[in-house]
Amino acid sequence: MAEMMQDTPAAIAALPESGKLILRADADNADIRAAIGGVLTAPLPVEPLTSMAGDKATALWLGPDEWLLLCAEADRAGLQQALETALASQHASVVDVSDSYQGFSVTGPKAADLLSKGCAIDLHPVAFGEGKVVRTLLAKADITLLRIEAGFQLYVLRSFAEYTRLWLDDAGREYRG
Amino acid sequence: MLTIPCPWCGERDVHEFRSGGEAHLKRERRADALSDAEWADFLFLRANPKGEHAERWYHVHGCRRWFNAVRNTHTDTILAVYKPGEAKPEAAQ
Ligand SMILES: [Zn+2]
Repeated sequence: MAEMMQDTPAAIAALPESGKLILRADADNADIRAAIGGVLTAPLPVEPLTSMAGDKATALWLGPDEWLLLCAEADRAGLQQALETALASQHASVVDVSDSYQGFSVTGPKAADLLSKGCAIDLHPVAFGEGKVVRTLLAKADITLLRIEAGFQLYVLRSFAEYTRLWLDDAGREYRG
Repeated sequence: MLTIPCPWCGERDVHEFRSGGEAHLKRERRADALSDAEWADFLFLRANPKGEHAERWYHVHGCRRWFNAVRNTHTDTILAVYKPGEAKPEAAQ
């Protein structure tokens, strides 16, 4: 499989079901940051457009008081519970949006070229390195885009999943290998 | 392509934003004490300068935050952007 991926200039795949939580909290509050960091086993990314991977979840910066937490399907209830417990006395919210979003991966050496057909963000590795995250538009659809080692992950509202898949497949025709 | 620098996300395509009109409008706490003419002013009358204009913008397809921008309405140049609650930058006044 790994060899096949390398031979494909840009491979598109729907990601399996996974846990996705929206966390809203005041990042200027050190107590809140510490409580969240303890659960995530990694500091909360407060720098715009960054992400931080912990043992069981990766936190993606979406806004100055908003994060998308990605975790395994099996961990989503436990992670929400742990965050709600840690933030019980704080003004914060954790909402399970796992079923609202469909994830896709676009991997391979031509992944950025494919996405650039419908995305105005500079996706060159110098400007958009591993772990960088943006919320932006891809062919008119709102996406959350994350750079991973092999390429990109993107998340769209489920009602945009079919449209996005059709667009990706069409844009990727020349990169199938 | 026109771009707007979001105070959080940096420079982005104008299509990611929505305009919110004139910035720094203040609603009277006692709106019921205003005359009809004063209330109509607040609701409907806006500055429409040729030149520098402080405006609200919403990064709807990005971080989904409101912010303020000073834009030259004649050249479309963005002269400054600043977060809600921050004063209009000196340089742009
Ligand atoms: Zn923004």
